[in-house]
Amino acid sequence: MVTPAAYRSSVALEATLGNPFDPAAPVPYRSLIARDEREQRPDEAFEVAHQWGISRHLTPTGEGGRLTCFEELLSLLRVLARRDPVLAVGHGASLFAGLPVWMWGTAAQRALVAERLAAGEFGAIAISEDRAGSDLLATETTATPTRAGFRLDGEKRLISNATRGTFCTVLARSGPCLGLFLLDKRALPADRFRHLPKVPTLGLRGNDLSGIAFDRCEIPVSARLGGAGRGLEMLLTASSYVRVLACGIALGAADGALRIAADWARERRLYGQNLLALPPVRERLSAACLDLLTAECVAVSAARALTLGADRSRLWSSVAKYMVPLLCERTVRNAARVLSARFFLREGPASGMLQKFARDSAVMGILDGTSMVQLNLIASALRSVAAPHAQDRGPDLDPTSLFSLTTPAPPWRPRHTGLQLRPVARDEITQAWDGPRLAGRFALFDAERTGLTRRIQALTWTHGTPRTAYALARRHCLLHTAAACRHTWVHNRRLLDPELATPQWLAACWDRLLAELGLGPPEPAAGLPEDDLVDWLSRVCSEGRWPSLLSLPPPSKGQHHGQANRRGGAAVQ
Amino acid sequence: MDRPTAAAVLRSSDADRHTHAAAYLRSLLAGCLGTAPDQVALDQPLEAQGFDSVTIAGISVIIEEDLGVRVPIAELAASGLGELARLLAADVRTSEREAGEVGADAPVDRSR
Repeated sequence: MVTPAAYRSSVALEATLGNPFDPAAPVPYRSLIARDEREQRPDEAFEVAHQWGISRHLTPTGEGGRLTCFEELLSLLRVLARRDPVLAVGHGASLFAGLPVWMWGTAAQRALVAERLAAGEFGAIAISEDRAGSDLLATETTATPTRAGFRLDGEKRLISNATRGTFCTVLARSGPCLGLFLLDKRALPADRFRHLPKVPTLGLRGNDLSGIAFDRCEIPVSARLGGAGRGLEMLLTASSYVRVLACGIALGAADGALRIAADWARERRLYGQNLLALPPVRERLSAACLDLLTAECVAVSAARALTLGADRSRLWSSVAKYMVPLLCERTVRNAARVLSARFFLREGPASGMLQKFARDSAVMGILDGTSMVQLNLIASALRSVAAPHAQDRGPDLDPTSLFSLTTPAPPWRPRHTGLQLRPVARDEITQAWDGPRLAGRFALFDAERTGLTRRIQALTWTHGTPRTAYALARRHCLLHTAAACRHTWVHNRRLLDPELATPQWLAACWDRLLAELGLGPPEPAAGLPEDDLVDWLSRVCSEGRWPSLLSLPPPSKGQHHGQANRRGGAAVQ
Repeated sequence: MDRPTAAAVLRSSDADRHTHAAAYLRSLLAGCLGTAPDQVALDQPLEAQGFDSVTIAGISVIIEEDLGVRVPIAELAASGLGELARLLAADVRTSEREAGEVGADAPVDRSR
């Protein structure tokens, strides 16, 4: 098994966090659940991640960090999330606050954020407001120009890291335009801002979610980030990156849940046999496994596209943000069904961690743009992609570079990123695709692709986005997902375990997507015996690996579930 | 007429400015939609034509790059394109105007 370079840091981070099932490990499930029950932030776990060096991976190389590769960062967030999604959301919020700074900030602003992150501190991105919701143009917080800078007034709410963040990137109205402002909270007049109470939530209970109220809060002119009045444009550009990276959190919650279910099925005896031997249990595990691997194909390619095909990322990041949480939530639900009654109990397998994954993953389709917002963006992008009129569509992007995991994606150069708001002109993922045929399955997708283009071209856009466009956008997402599975399989077969290298695996993934499209898979049914996939899952988990296409090597030998040692994984580092 | 040409015409002439501004907008939106300029309707605001916020933000950036005029996104989204053509006709500096103005290098900011 070859571990691509982008994943080596994930193996190291996993080792540092230790065996999650071992109560003596540096970051065990048991203590995370206890914190969650009390709605407390898992500070010790954050500290372990900091000591390992997670903040280096949120900071670009040019600013003293190690962030060059979004595929690597996606995987690191996944590792954090499979331990506790709260860890990934906390660091993800810092990253979102930092992205516009890395791309458009002054040297002093970049130095401030780099210094704070290196010290283990956190950042917050203050965009949303109670009344404005997801309508950013309705932002009411104002930054009024003054002789010395700006005066902030307004209330930002539902902000992760609002309380503990020592720096904060704020969207505020500055005249009729919106601006972005980087606040050093330590330098703010203490009597001119206050933190709002923590917001109780269904999941992510330990997340520092609250708000900040500004009352005639004076900030210096140097707080303005990037071009005056271009705050929304910067934010919309940064959102493409955040949407993709949020997929890592969904993947982590899903593979954490699936591993708990697989372990339980292997250990639990019922009717005189292992649960794993029961056909309905195998069916659930197989479905969960296929959904997770499918989601991974979409997410990883979207992360690579951020530096390979940034002008397509408007479309591909929205497709990923729509599909990956959906597939991952279904993975968690199927994992929960394997636990059956034990899922309902707040004790037992993994101390109720699967319940927590289920609660936490419920937010993934909402966070950083809801599913409906994504469908709207996708529909709009498809309108230009499907347009028949010749336009400057630019050069083709070879899907090989996008999907071949042994070839590193180009490094991110934040200062050269620029605003990425141009219409999407090409979609090679769904267009550059011609098989394998897999007993008539490809023909069904091919017909769907042709029909979709025709139907999108026929839409009438005279009263906003037509209702049908949302349905077509959803069908496009399923088509994109099928193509992503195909490209991943074609370009990485040699990396995959034998059970996944077989075309029957691809056929099985496609059959689930065809069913979602309302298209019956052709006979015979998918060739991959369910047993092969479930056996693979069981083997991977028993070896201490995580269910993933690459199923990275275990942190260390002798650390598998049921063989916990007191050293945990930290000793391996 | 392609967009750069339409922008150059608008910036170079004091005559028929509304017509030139409308031609520029048609060309710009046609490029966004992948359609022909004569198929772009000018009687409806962008948001009514189904343009999403990201595309509208992009259009605002393109207008500033081409013509040196900053149109706020909210105004761009909600204004009829005929009205927008009138605004551009009034705000875009031509070479003749620039010759007589002080500080002509700065963009015209409609957000002020």
